[in-house]
Amino acid sequence: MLIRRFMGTSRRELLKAVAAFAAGAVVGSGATYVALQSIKTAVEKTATTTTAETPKTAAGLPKMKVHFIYVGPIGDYGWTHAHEVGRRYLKSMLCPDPGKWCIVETSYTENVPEDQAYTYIKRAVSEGAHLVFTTSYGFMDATKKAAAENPDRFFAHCSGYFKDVDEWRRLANFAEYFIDLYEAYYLNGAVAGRITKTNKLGYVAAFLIPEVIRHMNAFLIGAREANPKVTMDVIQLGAWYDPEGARKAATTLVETSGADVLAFTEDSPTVLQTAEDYQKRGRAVWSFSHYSDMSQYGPKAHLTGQVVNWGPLYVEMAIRAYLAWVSGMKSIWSEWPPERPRDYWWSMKNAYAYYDYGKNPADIILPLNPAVPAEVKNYVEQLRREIIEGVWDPFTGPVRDMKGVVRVPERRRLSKDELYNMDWFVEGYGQLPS
Amino acid sequence: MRLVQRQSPSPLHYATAFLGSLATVILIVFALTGDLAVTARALATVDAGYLFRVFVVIGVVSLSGVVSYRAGLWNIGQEGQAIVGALAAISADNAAGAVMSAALAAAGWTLIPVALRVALGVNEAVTTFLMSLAAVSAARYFVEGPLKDPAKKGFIATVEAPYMEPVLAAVLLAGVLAGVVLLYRTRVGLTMRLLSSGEEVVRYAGKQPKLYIAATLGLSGILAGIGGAVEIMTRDAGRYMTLQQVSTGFGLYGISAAWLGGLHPLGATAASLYIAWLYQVAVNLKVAGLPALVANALVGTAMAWGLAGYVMYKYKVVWR
Repeated sequence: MLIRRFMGTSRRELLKAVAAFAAGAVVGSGATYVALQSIKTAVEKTATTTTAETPKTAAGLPKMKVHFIYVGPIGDYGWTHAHEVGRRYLKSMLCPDPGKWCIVETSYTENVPEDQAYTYIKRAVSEGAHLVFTTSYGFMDATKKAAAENPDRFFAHCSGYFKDVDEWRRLANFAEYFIDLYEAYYLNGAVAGRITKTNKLGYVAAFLIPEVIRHMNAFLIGAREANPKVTMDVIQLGAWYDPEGARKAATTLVETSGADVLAFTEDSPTVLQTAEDYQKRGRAVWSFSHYSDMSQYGPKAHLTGQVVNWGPLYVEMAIRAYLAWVSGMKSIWSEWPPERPRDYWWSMKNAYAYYDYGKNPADIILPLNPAVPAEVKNYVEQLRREIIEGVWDPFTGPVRDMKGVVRVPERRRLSKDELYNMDWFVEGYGQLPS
Repeated sequence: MRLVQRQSPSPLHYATAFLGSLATVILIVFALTGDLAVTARALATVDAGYLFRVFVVIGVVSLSGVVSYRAGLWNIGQEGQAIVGALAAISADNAAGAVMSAALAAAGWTLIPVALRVALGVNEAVTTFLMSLAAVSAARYFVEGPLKDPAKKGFIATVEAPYMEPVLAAVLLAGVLAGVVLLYRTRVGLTMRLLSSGEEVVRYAGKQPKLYIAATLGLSGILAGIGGAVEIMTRDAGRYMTLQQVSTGFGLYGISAAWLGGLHPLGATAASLYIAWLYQVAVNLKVAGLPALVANALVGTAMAWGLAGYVMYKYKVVWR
């Protein structure tokens, strides 16, 4: 009705109205801008970069501003939530008491669209951040650009890579980092292989990207080492967060494929909840946690699961950046870690054998479900120790792909790059999405 | 309280509505921050390059809305058409070629709702909306397949779109704006707008309504496609598409700007600037650690004020 009438107004009137709006908009925004700019200059504190101008702790230590840029909401109970837990851990370690002992001041921005990352990073830098963590693959180019433009600050990007050695050399204030879970998936697979009655496993994958393929392969290798009769069907969701789709996929895997253990890589506890529903109806279907402890969503169906703790890695990187910043010796930051400087790739190997998962960067959740027999528990615990000590790796050759071609030769393991780019499937898959 | 129609409409009330919207924004921001200094910073900090980029993108898409809605046609698939335009831009070698191929691709994409509307009389609001959903799937296919960049080391992302200088983007917006304004001065443009009065009226005026429906929807789709191409090409970094991030949301902001600007090309452009500024304010608020959905809320209040402005423009409020 309103629209119809609006269309009916004469052109002259419309023009007048629009002209008035346009004039109002231009004059109004101009005037507001000028007025606000003057207030801003009056109140704005200039961003500090040198340690001399920075507020100090009681012990005389300068405080470093650390800013996190997240792709999702901190309440997603998946990827971004885990990074937020890591930020809080960093704060609790390096700033437990602002009055006494505190060398970092942390802040974050959530829900940053990938196409606008650069704007947000630039804003963080102009607000005085000395170290910026960006936590999505899509933020990589923007973070590198900001690093090149601000050589006096430190930048770390999660889940990316250096294009070549030249770029790595040029961006001495920039680091890549990641914590991978394939070893934990392997251990989950070991449990799955021992617990399955139907010898059929199911996997709900958000996207078949190399990271997820690596997890699927490790899971299947673990399962088939424990039980060579096992095969696995996979359903792809096409989204990181899609509870409805995940429920459908899980149900299909149980009803059609006959799977009784369901693993997943997506950002909701839905698959575990679906397994729990089956358990309640008296059918033994099992699942896992992914990324954070989800056992509350399926106390009966929860076997174990992989968790990631970004905290220890954030503490390590922040201390490196802090020392480099305070001392002016950039090499403290730029030449670490020794195996691949400024390219942190942590996994279960960086865990402590006698600590539980709460203190380890990447680990499975212990204890296992009481329904898991002690014999299986010992088997998994043994494998876990061997992985942490570095004497065993899931992708130790010979590993064959689906066509039987040897992908990892005997007595060899995979390098970081080979793991990173994994686009082939190991033996033992049933149905795979095309 | 009741509304009485004015003898002559009062355009001044659009300015009042604008000021009202501005005041609301300031109040919301102040309510969220609770601090005058922080409020001032959130409202006054402007990243000129970013603001300009958002303005140009929303501006071009808003003209797509204007062309469609002024003809009484409901193209709400700007988001999808922009995605198709962006895909075309990714596969192009240079900015000029990208704009051309984006226009062509979006025209082809819009052909489906056009054909359904013209041949079978299927409501274009439904089809364009559904095509938006289809665009996301289509884009994912291209991201994983034909446009995937093998150099990205196992990450699934497209190759980079060519870079477009902001100046060029400005020229493009000015060109599109002038084009639409001029179009409305021609008989063709007049007939397009006449469509809003009904197909019978157009037929009575001696024209083929179906032809004009097709042309209008097609033009609207093309403009949204160009908007999508401009969006991806003017990014500071990361001019590629990933599986996770296909949609950018600028299509919907463009629609808002079209309505907020009174469905007039110049008004829509001014409204685009205003929405771009709201977008910047939202960025500032997020950096200050405030809720992330503020941008939508701010644009929403602006829409409400735009409506209030229209009511006040047409009617007088009588209190008893």
